[in-house]
Amino acid sequence: MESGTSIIEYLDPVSPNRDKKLYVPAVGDLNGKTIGFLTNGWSSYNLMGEHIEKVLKAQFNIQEMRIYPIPTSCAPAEGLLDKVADECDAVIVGMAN
Amino acid sequence: MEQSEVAMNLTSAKFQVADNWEAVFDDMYRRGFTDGLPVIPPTEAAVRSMLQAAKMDGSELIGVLAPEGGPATAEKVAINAVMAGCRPEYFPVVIAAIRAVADPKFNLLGIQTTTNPVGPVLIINGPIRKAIDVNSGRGCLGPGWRSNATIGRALRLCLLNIGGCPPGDADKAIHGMPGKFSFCFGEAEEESPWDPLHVEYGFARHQSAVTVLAGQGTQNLYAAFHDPEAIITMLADGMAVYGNNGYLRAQGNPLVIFTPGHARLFANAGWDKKRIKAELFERTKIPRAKIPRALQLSKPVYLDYDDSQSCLLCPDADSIVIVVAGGPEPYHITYVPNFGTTEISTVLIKEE
Repeated sequence: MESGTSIIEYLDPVSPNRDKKLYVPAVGDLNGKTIGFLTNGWSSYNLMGEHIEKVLKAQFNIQEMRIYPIPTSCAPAEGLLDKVADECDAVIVGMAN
Repeated sequence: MEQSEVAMNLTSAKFQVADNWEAVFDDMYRRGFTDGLPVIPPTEAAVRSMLQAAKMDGSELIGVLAPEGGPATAEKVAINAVMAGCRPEYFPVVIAAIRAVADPKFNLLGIQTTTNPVGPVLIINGPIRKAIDVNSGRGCLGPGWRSNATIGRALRLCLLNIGGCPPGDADKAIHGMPGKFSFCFGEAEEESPWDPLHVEYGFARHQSAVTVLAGQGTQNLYAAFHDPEAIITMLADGMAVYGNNGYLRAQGNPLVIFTPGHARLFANAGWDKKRIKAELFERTKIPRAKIPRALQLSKPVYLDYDDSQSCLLCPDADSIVIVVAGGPEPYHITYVPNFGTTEISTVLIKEE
């Protein structure tokens, strides 16, 4: 800003959460791992999910892919994400719309 | 609370920019803080005035806004209210609106991030309408009234900046809609033959409240009949459109805005809101056979119904919302189609 220019100071309207990202360690090798798949109930997910499961099994030798439905246009039910975290090594969110 | 106490609680980061309107707007637009329209710079003094009007400490948590889970503190809400152009006396209404959308039953996450054009519709009831000049009469859904325009806009800016939902990014609305700039009006209680909306939901007439529901835009119906039966027939036909998201889940709250003229016409013929709702609920049922059975991307609740089963616009007759507002003539009815997974939310406005 040029010297002598009159300035105005304004407050940040954005939530302080914006820059807080939660990082977890990468899952690394998928061999023998259990993969969760959250689906919000779109028919197109069926095609994508089935394809992804085949690829993960054939090419990455995962042990299992578990499907967890969440209601369309809604947050997951209370406790679901904790359950998924307990049961899976990695998770894919399937929003197929 | 003393003003100095409020001032001590301001914790937001500050930005400096050349003190002229163009530079401020350019800077705030570039940072993604605006809705694309010019904003009022939220200076400390302006934000303090806003907080002072509601006698609130800036650190008070009003709600948590999806999708980012942003904490809507009084300070952050005040900053966005200043930007929107609110006068300080509007602030209690904005606070109540934030509480209303943060209620889990409203499903803000779905409303903020869906491909549907839906946005919150604010309906203001009670004495505060007069105190802050909320338009509930002619043109109440359109331009020209600072309170209508800026209260609705303040909520939208909070959803953008605190909820963290920029259009085209986390906000996946395919087309969006003009009501996502602002969608706020008052009920014409004095012209209505029926109890106002907030009284229907358990508040007293002398109290003020804001109701928020999820609406997809406006559909005008020119219903210039003299006979309630004919008006109901036309209105129900206009609402019974299975492309409306409401039919996908049989959830949500369809909103019907009657003019005072139409409301009196119904009341004089002995129709109350309960009867109108019951008639509309029955007449908006659509036989499954009418809807193609071709593959859809989503899975509506009616997918496997047999041909004779009825698809519903909303869960029950009580979910239909009737409000009286607009110019007096019994000509036009505004219908605001519902979004599926959401429930209406009404919150008391705390006036000091």
